[in-house]
Amino acid sequence: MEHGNFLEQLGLLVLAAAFFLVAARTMRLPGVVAYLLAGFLIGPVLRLTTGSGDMEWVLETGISLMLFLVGLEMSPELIRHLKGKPLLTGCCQVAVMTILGGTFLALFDYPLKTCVTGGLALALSSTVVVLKLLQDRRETRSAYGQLALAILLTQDLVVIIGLTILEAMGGGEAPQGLAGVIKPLAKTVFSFAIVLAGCYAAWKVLLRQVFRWSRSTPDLLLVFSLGWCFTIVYVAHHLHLSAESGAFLAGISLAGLPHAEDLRRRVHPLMQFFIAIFFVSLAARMDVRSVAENPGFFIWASLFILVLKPVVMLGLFSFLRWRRRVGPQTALILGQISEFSLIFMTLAAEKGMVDEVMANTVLALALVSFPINIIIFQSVYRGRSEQAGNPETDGKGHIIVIGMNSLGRKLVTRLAAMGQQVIAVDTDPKKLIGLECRQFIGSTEYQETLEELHLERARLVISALRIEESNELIAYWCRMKGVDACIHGVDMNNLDRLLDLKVAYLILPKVDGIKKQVAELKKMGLLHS
Amino acid sequence: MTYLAIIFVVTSVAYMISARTRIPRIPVLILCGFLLGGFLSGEQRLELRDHLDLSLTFLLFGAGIELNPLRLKSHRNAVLWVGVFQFLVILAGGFMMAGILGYELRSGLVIGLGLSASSTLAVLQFLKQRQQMTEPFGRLVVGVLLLQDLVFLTLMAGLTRWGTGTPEVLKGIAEFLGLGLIAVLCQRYVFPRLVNAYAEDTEVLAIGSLAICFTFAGLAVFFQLPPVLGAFLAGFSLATFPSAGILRGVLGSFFDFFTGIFFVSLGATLLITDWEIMGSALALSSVVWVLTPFTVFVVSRLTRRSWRGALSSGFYLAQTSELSLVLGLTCVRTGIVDESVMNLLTMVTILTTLATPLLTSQNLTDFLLHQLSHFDREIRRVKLDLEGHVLVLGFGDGGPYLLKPIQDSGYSVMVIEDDGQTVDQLRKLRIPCLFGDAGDPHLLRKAGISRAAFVLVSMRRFDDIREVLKYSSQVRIFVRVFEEFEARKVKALGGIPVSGADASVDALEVWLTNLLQKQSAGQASGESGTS
Repeated sequence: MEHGNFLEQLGLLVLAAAFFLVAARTMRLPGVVAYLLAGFLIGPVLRLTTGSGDMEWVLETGISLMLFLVGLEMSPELIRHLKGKPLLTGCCQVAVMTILGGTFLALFDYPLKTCVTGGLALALSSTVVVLKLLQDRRETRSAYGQLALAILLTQDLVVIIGLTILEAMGGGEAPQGLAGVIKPLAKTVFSFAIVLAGCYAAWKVLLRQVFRWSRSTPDLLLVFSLGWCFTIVYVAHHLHLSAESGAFLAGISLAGLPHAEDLRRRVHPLMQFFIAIFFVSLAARMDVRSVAENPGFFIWASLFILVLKPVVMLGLFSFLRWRRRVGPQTALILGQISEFSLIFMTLAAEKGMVDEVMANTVLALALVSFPINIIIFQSVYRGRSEQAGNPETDGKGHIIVIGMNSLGRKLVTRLAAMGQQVIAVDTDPKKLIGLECRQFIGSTEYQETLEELHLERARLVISALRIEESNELIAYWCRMKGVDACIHGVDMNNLDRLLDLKVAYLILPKVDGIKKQVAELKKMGLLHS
Repeated sequence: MTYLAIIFVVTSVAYMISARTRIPRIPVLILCGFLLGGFLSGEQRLELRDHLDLSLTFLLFGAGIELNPLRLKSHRNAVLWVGVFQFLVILAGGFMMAGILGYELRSGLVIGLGLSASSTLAVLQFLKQRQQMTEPFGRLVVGVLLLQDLVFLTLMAGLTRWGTGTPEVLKGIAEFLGLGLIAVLCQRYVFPRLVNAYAEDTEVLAIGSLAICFTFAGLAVFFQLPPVLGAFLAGFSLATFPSAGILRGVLGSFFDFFTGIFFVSLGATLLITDWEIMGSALALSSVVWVLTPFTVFVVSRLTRRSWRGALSSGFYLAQTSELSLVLGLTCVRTGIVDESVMNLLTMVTILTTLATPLLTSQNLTDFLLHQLSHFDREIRRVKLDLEGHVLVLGFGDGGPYLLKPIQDSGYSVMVIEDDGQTVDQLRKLRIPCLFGDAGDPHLLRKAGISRAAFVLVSMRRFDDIREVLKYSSQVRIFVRVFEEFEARKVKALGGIPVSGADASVDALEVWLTNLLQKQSAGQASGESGTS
């Protein structure tokens, strides 16, 4: 590899991504659209890069981390929540839309294998786009948001199975006869079972101890988790499973950890970088001739995704008796194809299941469907939807206490005794043991932590931390959100900085301790009153 | 992906060893990588090397973000004196030792420079682990580290032009400083506004800051400087508050990811065929082990640091930096030195960083303090005949609150304080005090601890507190503590703990009750207004 070339190429992709991302933000478009447009500009249009070659490991890492995160999301509570009607809806949606998508492709005389893989690619919707849209509108917990998420998670599971099957089918040649399908499929199921059993055994014998031991050191936890993720990916690869399946299994095996949420928040920024490069690079590879060759198909396929797909889903949701307002919103927000469709079709093209033209067309469809769907949704639903609301997690008027050292723990106990709604926050689960209030494992360095704590709705934020930089940052966020902050003034020489940040109350154990000391000395008669 | 799996398994093992043994991570990562390298073929080693450039760029970017200029402000004079002297002495010492070992001028300079800076990553890890970041010596050490990084990289910009003539070398330095000026302007006028504008958008912050990194790296390449120098300046341009704090949250795991990759890959690509290099590495390490503590100690004492602070600063800085590896790698890439110099610098970094836990151990410092106390003329010449006084051990920030009530009660006061500046201020106010470590038994006896009316302790290190509590049977000793477990230990040793945390909770409760009443009253009036 040419060192300069690799860094230059990567730098170009990052610069283009950043430029388009900032531009996209002014139009309230999600990052994926920006990345695809950036790649399209520096690839097919300006021909500055081909987005391939040395970049492979970066792209693979991006996909693996994304699937690892999806696996990490699969907490036992979420799986319980998915059961029943949402799961049934998700399964029905995937089945109906795959059949419809396949039929649509068959109308254009595509062979059966292309209809099956292409049908599934058209049926999927973008987790990244939908999640981002819901987060921007703060409607993740709305009724339609919950249904959309349930469907997306069902789709993720289907994709994992699809990718696994695809990996087994391939090898450059299409399978011959029924035996040609069943044999690799059985091999895949067997490999999948081995990895699954391996994960479980490793978890029971070794990992649980290792993770329990490393939980008080967050960066150690991150490195262990990444080590675990890439090891399973490596094993999966050697057992002829897709890297994506391995990463997903690695993630799901850690989803039950008490600090899985914290881990997810730590892996997320890493994934953001790699996945941005993935999308830019993917679009840079696009061959626009594939669209130019068959513009009619491209226009019909776009209409299928943007119009027919939401309409059919609306019918399906009505049939399954979802509430009147929930159905249309969910149907409309899912009216695009998925980033997984691109991954799925890229792998399918590699394995010879579809031709390059089809894979490129799906990429172009993503480029078109992402922004148009967002614009349609935003213009139809301008206002905010009703929130499903969860009093347990949707705090309001609560007090957040950060850092469970002696000061933090005593404060939590005292505030709870005063009848306040308190959330105790620390990175170390051990330090939260025994506190009779809501507990939160996480670092306040991560903005996601503050969002999940509903900082902007808190009555008060108290930091007992003895880390000056973290305290200053907490004070900064509180000022941004207009929330009163009580901050531990660790170093008396730096109190000005905290006062500049308009801290409501400075906790000064050094001064308070001396005052108490003097009072006790007076009480003991050692000092005059 | 196979390499990533291997690297991260090795990184996990290295982290585990480091956490268990409390040895800094860098040498353990390099050593584990080195062991891994034994199982790899030449081609595989070359492939691993591909990861080095990218991870090095991001590592330097991360190092730049940590270079908050405000950190240099506290103890500015001491930082400047200690930093400059230590840097120059080790540069000269390393250069001379390289000459003795038979290295030619160019290699000697690279080796000298490679030895002159200390490891920011390792030292910060130790200071954080031992909660010594806010101690006076901790602040001094952090300031020195940052100054060294800046000087080191400036000289490195010139050194990479070695062989093209003095004007080119100077031009390289000037170009680096010019780029630095752009970074400073961006740091002051551009990036804080950008970061503020997108503070809540982690995606824009992550991708945007990396774009800044690549822009500066590109500018460096344009000026024919190594791209890593541009990456460092990019980080520096984002090093102020709140940018650095926000970006630490956004990019923290990103830097953790590439730290593992860099050091393991570096270890794995290390090819030592001639084990005689170990002798040279030991000789050069000795330069760092002897000259650094000595120089830092002498200059620290001259700038009114306590004995313990001066000793600790010297030992904490006695290792070579990860930047030495960057220097070695860059010089090998640009053909200034051959692989053997790079291998030598890596070995020295491993050896000196491995020795850091031993050098910074409590026992060594205590032993040397005991020996040095005989030379403390200031203490020896003081004749004290105190009785019935109040002994204040550690004046610190809260001391002024104590003085008045003690003096109003008719007691005389004696203070023992380890911060030179505080001692000077106390002496200006004619308050009797001794400059030194309050855990020093010799000093405690001198201050008449056993004859005091009572003793008020406010000290950071529990070992010092334990030393004081040996007198608990003779005098009442009040110890200010923060943590619950500290209070229990003080009680067990016969002292009277005073919990600062408890006092703060009481004070906060009063404030909070008022606040909640006000908020409720505000709410009630709002509701009545609405109705």
